[in-house]
Amino acid sequence: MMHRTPSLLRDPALEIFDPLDRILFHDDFDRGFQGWTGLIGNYEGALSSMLPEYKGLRNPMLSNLTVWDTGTDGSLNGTYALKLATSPRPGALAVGIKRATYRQAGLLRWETIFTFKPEASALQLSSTDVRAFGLLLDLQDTDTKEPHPQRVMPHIRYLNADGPARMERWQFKRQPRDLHPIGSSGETRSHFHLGPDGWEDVPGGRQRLCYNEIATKHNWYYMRLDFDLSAMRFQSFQCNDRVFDCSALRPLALPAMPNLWCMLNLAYFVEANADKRAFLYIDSTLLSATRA
Amino acid sequence: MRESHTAVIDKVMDLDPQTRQTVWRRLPANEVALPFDWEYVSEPYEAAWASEAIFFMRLLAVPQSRQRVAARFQAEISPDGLHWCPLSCAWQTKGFDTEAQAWLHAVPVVRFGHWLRLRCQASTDFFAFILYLSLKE
Repeated sequence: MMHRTPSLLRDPALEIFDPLDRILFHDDFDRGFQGWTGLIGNYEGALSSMLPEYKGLRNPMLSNLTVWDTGTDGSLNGTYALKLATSPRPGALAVGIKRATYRQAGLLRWETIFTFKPEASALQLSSTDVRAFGLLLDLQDTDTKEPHPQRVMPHIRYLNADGPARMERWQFKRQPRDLHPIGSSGETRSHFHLGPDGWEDVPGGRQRLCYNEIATKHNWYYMRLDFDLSAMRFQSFQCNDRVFDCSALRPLALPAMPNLWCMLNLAYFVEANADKRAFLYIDSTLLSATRA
Repeated sequence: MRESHTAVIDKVMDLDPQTRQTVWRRLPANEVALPFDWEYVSEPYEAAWASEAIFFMRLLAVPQSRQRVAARFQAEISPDGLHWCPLSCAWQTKGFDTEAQAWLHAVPVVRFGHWLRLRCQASTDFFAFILYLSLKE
């Protein structure tokens, strides 16, 4: 007979997730930013040396989801969520990143409770004003990996709309752009990996979400990415009730870089599709892994 | 322990007219209070959890030729991130020389609504800066 913890002793904020054996972190943004910060492009000598696409990225904030017509929504569990907000122009991006390293190249599971909306600056549905949101891992093999260690960057995004067209599909990206030298020392390079180029549809990846009927109503969603660090392959991706076949998905990969061994970075991003800010809210996020 | 957070609200990096970010707007003649004929308004930042805040603007880069710049600052607050009013009617005014590269200006803010932003009017759009918002619970 299975023994279950009585429900009154369980923590609903944790119960919503399905973690693997070891929880590496569980960030609920009622306790600060917990390591989530803005992404900055590499530079040398002066900030202006960074690639132009990195210059407009906005940094995260903590939001209680206050809207002009009904006041504070709060998050799913508590008051605050991590918020990414773009500038008000089509193609503008905001990115939040957390930087760690890994001690075991096993299976990772990254779960998120999130929602997204455009700024409610017009009394209209506005459901195509967010172009896309997504998540990525930035990983590198251990320094003893032979013969061809790699930097590996699995990217997944939900393309909500593109121009006036509703797209409503999950996509991945495998093709990196060229690396550009930054500055003159020969030791700093950079590539922009969140551009509009190179996204491919996830097979069977059409999914309509619960946008709701006005721009100030927030419904929370669940998503889960499973990624195998030993094979550097996608294992599984889920959003709400749908689990997608990841056998055809490939991460973006490039030769290892000199200073990134065992890197484990996680990032969320959101992109505007109109001259209106696009918002991505993270209620909470949990990263777990298998034990050896 | 009290929560605290320093947010980088903006980084305006380039002085090259071909590539610099277009964050400065030339004020129309009927809005100008000379010598402040250029205006920058920061992106909004949510700070509902904080009870005190300070904007810091630091000069990052200066143009080739020496300039005397006058700037004035006003913190603005909002209940919804859409509609804004100044926190105080008074502007803080600052003059600086672009050859003095260590220029830093602070605008403290207390008793604010959920959103904050900074309005800066200046006699030139020709300086690069980084804008911080330091928050405490």
